[in-house]
Amino acid sequence: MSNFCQEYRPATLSEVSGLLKDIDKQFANFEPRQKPHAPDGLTNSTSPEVCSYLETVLGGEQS
Amino acid sequence: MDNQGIVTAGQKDYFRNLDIWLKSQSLIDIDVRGLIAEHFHAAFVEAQIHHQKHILELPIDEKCREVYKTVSWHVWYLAYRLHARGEMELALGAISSGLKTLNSFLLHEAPNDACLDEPTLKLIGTMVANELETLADHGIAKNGLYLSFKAARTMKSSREFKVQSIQSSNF
Repeated sequence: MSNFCQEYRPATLSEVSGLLKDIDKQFANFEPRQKPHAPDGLTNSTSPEVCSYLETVLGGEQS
Repeated sequence: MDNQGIVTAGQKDYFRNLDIWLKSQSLIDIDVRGLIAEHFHAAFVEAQIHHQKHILELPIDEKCREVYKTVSWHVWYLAYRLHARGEMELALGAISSGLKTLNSFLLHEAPNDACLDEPTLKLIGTMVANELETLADHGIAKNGLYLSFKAARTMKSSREFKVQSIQSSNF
């Protein structure tokens, strides 16, 4: 992990990108438990309207 | 917008609101900023690891990262860490700043600028704080916090929302 953890600022896009890749690698062989109490059809999504807002938050950082 | 962008912007907006809160409380000395930085980032990493476990454990079709989820869990882990350090005032600030961030996302949802009112936000914040303290049976943690905003978002954005009678519910 980069030294962003020591600094008083939010993580940058490239730092977050690196972190998410590291976590993906950590969980490459993750075995889910057998019977999660969850129905089919669950989705994750952020709406286009909120994404537009988040683009303004990102500012100059390229997504 | 890709996942990295959503996650980055979510924690960036949370950080901005937290910074505003710290300044409003005149908590700007270097020790407090160092403590917040350390735990803000550590909590962020915890939230991302939890998210990875979450999507691997549950049958979730991840179209893209859900910002309510990533920020709700970040708020919880940060408040938890600060509380564990005996910094309840900072933990409460982490919660209120997080609620402000989540509510600003809700504000931007179509079709209007409705969002949660102050009494409701205060209730959610109180219940998160209860969970940290010795009133957990009157509290909610990271998933309760997320679901508060998920439910509000679903109602707000549903174009075909109709009031359901209790009898028609599956529960």
